[in-house]
Amino acid sequence: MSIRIGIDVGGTFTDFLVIYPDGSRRIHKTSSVPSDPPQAVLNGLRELAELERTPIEEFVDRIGLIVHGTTVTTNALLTRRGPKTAMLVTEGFRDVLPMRHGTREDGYDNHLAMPEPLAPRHLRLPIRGRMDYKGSEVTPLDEDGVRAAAKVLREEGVQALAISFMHSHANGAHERRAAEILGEALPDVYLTESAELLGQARYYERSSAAVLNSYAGPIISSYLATLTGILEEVRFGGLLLMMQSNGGVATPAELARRAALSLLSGPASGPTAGLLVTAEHGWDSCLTVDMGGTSFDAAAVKGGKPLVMTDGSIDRWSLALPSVDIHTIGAGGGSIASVDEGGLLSVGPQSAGAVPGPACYGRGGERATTTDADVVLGYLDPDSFLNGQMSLDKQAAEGAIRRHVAEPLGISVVEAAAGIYEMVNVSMASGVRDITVRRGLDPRDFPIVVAGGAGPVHAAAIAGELDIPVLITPRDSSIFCAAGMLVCDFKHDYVQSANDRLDTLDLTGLLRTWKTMAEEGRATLHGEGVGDDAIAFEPSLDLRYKGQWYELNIPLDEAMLIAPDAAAIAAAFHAEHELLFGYHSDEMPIDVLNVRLSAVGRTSDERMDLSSEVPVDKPERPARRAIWSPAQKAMVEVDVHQGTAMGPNARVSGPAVIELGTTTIVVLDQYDCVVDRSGSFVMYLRDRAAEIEARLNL
Amino acid sequence: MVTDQSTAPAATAADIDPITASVLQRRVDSISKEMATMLMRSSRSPIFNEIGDLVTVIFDRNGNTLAQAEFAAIIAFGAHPSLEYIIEYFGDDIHEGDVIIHNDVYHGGNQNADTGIFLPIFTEGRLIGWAAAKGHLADIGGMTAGGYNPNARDIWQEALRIPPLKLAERGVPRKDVWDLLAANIRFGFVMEDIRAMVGCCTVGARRVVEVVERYGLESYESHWEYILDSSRRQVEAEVGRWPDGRYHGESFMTSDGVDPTKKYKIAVDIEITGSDIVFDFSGSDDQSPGICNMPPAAAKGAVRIAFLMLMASGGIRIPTNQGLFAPIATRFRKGSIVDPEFPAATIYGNQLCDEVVEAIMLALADALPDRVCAGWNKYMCTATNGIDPRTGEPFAAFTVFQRTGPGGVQGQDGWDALGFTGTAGQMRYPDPEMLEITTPHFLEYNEYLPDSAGSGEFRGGYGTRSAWRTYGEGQIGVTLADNMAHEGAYPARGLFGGHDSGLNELRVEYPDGSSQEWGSKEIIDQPVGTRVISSAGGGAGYGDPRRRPADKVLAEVRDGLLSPEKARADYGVVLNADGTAVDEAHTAALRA
Repeated sequence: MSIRIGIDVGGTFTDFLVIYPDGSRRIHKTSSVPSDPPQAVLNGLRELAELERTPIEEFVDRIGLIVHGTTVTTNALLTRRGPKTAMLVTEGFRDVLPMRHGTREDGYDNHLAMPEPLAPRHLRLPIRGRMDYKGSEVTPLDEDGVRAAAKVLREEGVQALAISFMHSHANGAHERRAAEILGEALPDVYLTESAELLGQARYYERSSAAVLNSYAGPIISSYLATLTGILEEVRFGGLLLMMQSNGGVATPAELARRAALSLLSGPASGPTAGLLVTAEHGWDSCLTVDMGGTSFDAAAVKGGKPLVMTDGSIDRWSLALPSVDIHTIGAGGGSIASVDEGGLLSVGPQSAGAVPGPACYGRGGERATTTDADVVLGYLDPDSFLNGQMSLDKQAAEGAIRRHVAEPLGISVVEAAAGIYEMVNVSMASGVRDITVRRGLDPRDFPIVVAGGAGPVHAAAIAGELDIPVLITPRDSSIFCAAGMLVCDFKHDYVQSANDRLDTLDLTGLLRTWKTMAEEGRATLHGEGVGDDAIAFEPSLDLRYKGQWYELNIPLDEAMLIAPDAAAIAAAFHAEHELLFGYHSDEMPIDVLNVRLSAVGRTSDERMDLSSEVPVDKPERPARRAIWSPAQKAMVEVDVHQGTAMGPNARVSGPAVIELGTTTIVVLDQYDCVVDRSGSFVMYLRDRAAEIEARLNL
Repeated sequence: MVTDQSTAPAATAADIDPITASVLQRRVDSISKEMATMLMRSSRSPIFNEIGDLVTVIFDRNGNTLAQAEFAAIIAFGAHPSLEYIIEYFGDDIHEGDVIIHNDVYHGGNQNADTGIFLPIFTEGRLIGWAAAKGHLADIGGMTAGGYNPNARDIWQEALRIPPLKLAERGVPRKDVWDLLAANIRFGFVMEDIRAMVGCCTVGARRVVEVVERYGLESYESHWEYILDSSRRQVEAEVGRWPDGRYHGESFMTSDGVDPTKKYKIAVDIEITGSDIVFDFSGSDDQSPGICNMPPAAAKGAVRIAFLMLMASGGIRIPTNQGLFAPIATRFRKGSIVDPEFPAATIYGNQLCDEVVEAIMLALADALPDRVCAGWNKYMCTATNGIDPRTGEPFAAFTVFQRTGPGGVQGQDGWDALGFTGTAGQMRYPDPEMLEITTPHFLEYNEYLPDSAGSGEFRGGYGTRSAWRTYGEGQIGVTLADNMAHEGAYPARGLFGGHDSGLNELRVEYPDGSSQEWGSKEIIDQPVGTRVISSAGGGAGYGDPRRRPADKVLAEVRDGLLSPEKARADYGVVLNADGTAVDEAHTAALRA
């Protein structure tokens, strides 16, 4: 038994969650080093060793596992500080990348600028050679053309390259051959073959994924090289795993190969972390929400697994690799409230960000924001915001709301603030509804896990909108993602396009495809040190009724890998269609678009026991302050509890406020709150107390 | 004369809470979006789901639009006139559980292929609103699958006409009516799409009922009056800032499908008086003998598209509801191309959106120079169907990958290869691989067409070059196009020194070695092995091209989009011998 550490690099802090062999935990924070992100990892390990009063090598020697999530590629992409990237395309399709789906984000806005492609046109080089949709060669690959391209790319000093040819999903031979030639000619260039990354039809999606992968490749490779170098220096001999956007982990070598999987990996462990918190009480499904300064993220876990999407995007480009389905809407603490000329209030999507920030930050922001409303309503205490590290200017908040909302609407400042609060809550609730309805889930069936920042201020109101009866806020939400990482499994996804009818599908061929994928997955997992007994496979098919545009991913039982059953597959598809769209048709033929398989490797059999050692401060007499009660439509005087002084089984009845250092839990009138055995704060509708309490593991 | 002068009643009730109104608007808006998401993901007609040619709407009980989710803009405003007619037609005979279908252009429809489903919403036995979905169905009867046939001379040849018809009555589906429809529609999956539309309206209606229960009916309705009124006030405030006056603009359609060189003028006189704006199309030419006639519902939709573009360019975004259009009046002359006399054929009407939008933009150029856009290169696309030899089953497809370019605006180039004003940038592009997988086509090339953008300080968007081969059995193709070079069309107009757009070209090569120019509204047989070659022009430019920064010109030359010759001739930019840098001295001399 050894120490396990989860490390989550954020913009300001890098959070460490240390789990000792006896199950005890230590949480540590160190400042992030944006100019050299891996340095923060080393700094944190040094500080932890110092806390243990041991030399760093000795401390590191006891570490068996480090799981790490980084946003280094995402940041480089968003700020366009990535490598010079080029692309080989099939002749005649040079603009497949910028043409995207042929649409723009705002139809009527003729002033909207097109997104700048990561590979500019003079670096998108057309190559002769063509496969048809079945993968038969129509025109042979122009190898001389590839060599000529290599020369151009060398002269241009290109550092990253994507090869994406028409119908390579059906036959990747031309891409492979071009990669061979280029690999020899340009050994230092990061190279992605589109079909090898994402073997599915849709030329734009596959091309975009390949270009993003190449763009991210050199960044993550250099990051990982530095990080592993640093860890070698302190003689780390354990396993280093990286968080991927699909909600699984991988070794650094695997992530470097599929670099695009690092792009949406930041929040990808959140849903698994949510499950960790709700599983305490026997739920295997939950919603997780995270509200920051500019955005609100919602995700769902169903049947013990985070929901995965294959139609994601980043920075206006498609990213169709399977990734945890996190729905982001532009509503956060910094969202600006305004009144239009017609007299209607809107909140967001414009945000004041961190600078100038909300008016109450006193950094020059003059517009009224969600955070300003939270201050006026008494939900945020101006003196104890962020553990008292930052004091808020309540008068500035009131002034901004008066000028921009209350006066134009002819209502009081408090009413205006309550309006902002309600508007932003309705927006966030519709974001949650979107992610659930789109997946045929009923939000009333799940608890909602609310981590961090402004979330717990708004969560009860959002839950109220959606009739969600239970909300859980982890005791220390800063390590929420880090805790999730430590329980994520290895996960590698494989996809192969198909073009068949389910009723005439060649089941032997299907089996062969799955077996090939499973072998590849097994080999990869073996390479990562996972034994056979810890490996499981999750087969699935992308299906749709003939003529439909959108396919549904239908997860299938692992037994299908031995004996695939077309009738059972059809039944599963009809059922899912019925669930999502309210109807199905037995007589319509079903098309098979993609064959998929995920290879999952258990990282650890050690259960994470959250319940050990909940540190509880000495209770003090609760303070009192006035907060807005939406139910009473008035400011009411309530108790303000110190969350750190509330141990397991401590209870609070709403309306009340629980201060938790970096966040504040607002317990609205109709809710009660109890601390569970792991120290999490469980809020529930008082009306349903008996039923819910019976279920809670307190 | 037809006028569109909806007036939302002023909210005077003392118990109106602006916050409640704001929140209510948001809630109902999200219902319409949820309906659209459901419909797009479950429908089957390709133009419906791939291209998003659909709209979902929540109305109040009087037929005022409260919220809608729109993709293809031209259809988006087409549900409202139909519902006005439905309400008038049925009067008191509207009951809980009724499902009404409608398409007829002579009773409020915008195009007969654009078929609507309308569900009355009830609580406690009272009608409180409507949920509607309208989409372009792959077939709705008539002499040609899909309805596009330039040989049609009257409406009966184009489609099965459906003035309002109850598909279900008081919750009971009318099997006889379903079967009648099914018997007149070629593709079985179209009935499935109708079912999907009913499904999404049912969900929308249920959600509206939940919202009404939350607020109480009286409060729901009084707050909606306030919301519509506030949208109206906001638009009035904006139009009030536009300079008063009378403005004239015109645009031309070339070829009516009968005479390929005949031109039709679409003319608009815009009168702005204070916060009122009137769009008068009386000066437009008489209706055409063929399919190129625009029903007023479609023409009003086109006016609204232009209007929303002008608002968006001012940074103004207002939720689409009845109040938004209250200050707008439209006038048409009966018997003109934008208000044809019964029983003229009209299937091409939606395509005239380009002409309506261009006429409006040209008219307002001097009044609103920072809002208007230069001319969009008019639409070009083919609709095709036949039997797919791989499955022996019928297929239908639109080659909407033939993208034309929009015009430039003050401060911004036109968006490359965006296509048609009528879909306002929301029409999805059929993926080249999916096109080959799902229909019997082989795509040789499809990419930006170099030198196609109208030059300007802010150039037009680039058009596209494409070629494809067909191998469907009994395949026919029909063009929905304009701006054809070989028909002598006028290009889209540049503004403030920006150059005009290019023109479209379309050629067919038959397997027997013969070839022809393909007319802009012409139906042809496409025997196996037919090859189609398409040049879709770019949009017109805005502002003097010699004011465009030379490094931007250089970048496009480097990208292979702009020839050094055109850089020199239009932009006055001279490059060095290997084309990698600007020859500053010669450029300065040329630009002086």
